[in-house]
Amino acid sequence: MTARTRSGLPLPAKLDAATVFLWSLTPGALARWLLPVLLAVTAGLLLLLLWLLGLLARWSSVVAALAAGALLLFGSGRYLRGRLRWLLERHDPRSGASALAGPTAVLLALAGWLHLMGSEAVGLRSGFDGTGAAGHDLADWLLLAAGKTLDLVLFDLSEALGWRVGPLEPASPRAALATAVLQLLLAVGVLEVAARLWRMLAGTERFYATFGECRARCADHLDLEARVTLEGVVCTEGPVLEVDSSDFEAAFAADAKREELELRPRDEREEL
Amino acid sequence: MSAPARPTVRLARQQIREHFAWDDPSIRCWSLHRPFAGPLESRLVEAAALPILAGVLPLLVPLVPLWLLSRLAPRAAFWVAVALLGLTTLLYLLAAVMSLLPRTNTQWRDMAANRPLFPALALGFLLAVIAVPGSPVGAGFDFGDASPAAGLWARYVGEHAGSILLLDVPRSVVGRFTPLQPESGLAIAAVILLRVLFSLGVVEVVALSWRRHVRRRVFHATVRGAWVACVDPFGQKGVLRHLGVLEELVQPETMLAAELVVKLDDRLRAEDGCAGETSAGRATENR
Repeated sequence: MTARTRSGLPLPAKLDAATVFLWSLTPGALARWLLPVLLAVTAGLLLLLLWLLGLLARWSSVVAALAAGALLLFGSGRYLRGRLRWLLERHDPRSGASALAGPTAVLLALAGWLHLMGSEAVGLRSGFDGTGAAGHDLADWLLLAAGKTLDLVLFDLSEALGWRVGPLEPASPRAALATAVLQLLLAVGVLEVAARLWRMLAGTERFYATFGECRARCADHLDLEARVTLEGVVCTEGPVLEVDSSDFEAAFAADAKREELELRPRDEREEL
Repeated sequence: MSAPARPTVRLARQQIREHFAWDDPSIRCWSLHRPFAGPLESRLVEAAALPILAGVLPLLVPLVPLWLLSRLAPRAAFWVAVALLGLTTLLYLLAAVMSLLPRTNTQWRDMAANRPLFPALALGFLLAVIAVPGSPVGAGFDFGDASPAAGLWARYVGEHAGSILLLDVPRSVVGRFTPLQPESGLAIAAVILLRVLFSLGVVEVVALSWRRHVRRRVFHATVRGAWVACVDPFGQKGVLRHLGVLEELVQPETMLAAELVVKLDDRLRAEDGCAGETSAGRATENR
């Protein structure tokens, strides 16, 4: 059924075959340093994009707003398309996932939306209390984003305690909706980064997947030193055995009761 | 071309132990389907029922007996609610910690499977702790012009739930639903716990829905693991199917993940190229 690669890993005759394998993915030694690097690069890229849009706005605020709108549409569209493909085509090795596509798309959309919120050409900024005069107030908008990120990470505790980061506060329904969109983009960004970090820092991850799904998972891994191991194959020969779950529960109820408190090593190959 | 359909053999309860052994260490592929009655609407009903069964019912169930108890003995109701809040929060933390330990037993696994219920239960007990008449926690709130009543507390919880679920939009657009404001340290702590428990409850219910609906309920486990999966916190019956067995490689084979991606992409390009050439060749022959 399989042909071997030069380094020994067997490949099935057709890559979109539905055979499921047991894999393990082990992060490399440098994975733990990726958190500060990732955060610094993300913050740096966001600042760079906003600075470039700010420069453009000095020449023409309308052109800058159009560019920011294009960034927002491109980023959110690309992100939605990527997630939809991930949901619908996980088995397909041609789904083409890549590690940085999701976070980069969110970052582009976030930069575009932050610029639109602060842009004079759009008019959203007038709905916020605490906006400075015509001067440069990029730091205020960044503080607003930082405060909303903190709210997300800390379950909105700052709101319950009455803390506020930065001077900006939405004072009109339009500004409230704009802030909600900002929070949505930030939530997606935080989830994207957290999911990848969890994978890198949680140690060896075992999972069952076809070659296509495994390709997507490997491509979605930020750590270039991560190693993937093929540990087994799920054989699906013979008839499917079907039973009522309540019958299965009753058949082994006595065994489960007998060893209710008996501690056993966890089987890493199980997924529950 | 799809693989031919495999025959299905239905087992009676007496036949189960002939095919599966409790101590069998091999990992098997199972699917677990818990359909609601009615073939057409079952998926929709199930999708809507799960958040209610796992999130709303466990929240409301503790409130009724504690409300009745508070009519007879308010002080006792407060302390019972405090004790049960502590117990359910502790059980939730224990279930979360246990799922990370290298050793486990059937009871712990069962508890971990029921984990989504604990935040909702704890939230119900917390609401009782806050709203029971004479509660020192409830007394720490500034009521403004309003007087303490069940409807006021319900609106206050709805306000926080809406602000968590809908990213603060209702509060910013419509304004506040109640004049309630935590003043004392106990009241602030209760509001923080309310928000944390509600957020955890939402995360747990979403994760549970994901496992039940999106992952199509196929899982790989020993017979013990399949037994734990069959124990349903909502008592819902289902159909368990045994689909296959894991065969481990004698010598597992390793490579860089990035290298695997490149190799698979090369292989796909080659496959697609071959398919393109073959179809082009066929077209030429046909002409």
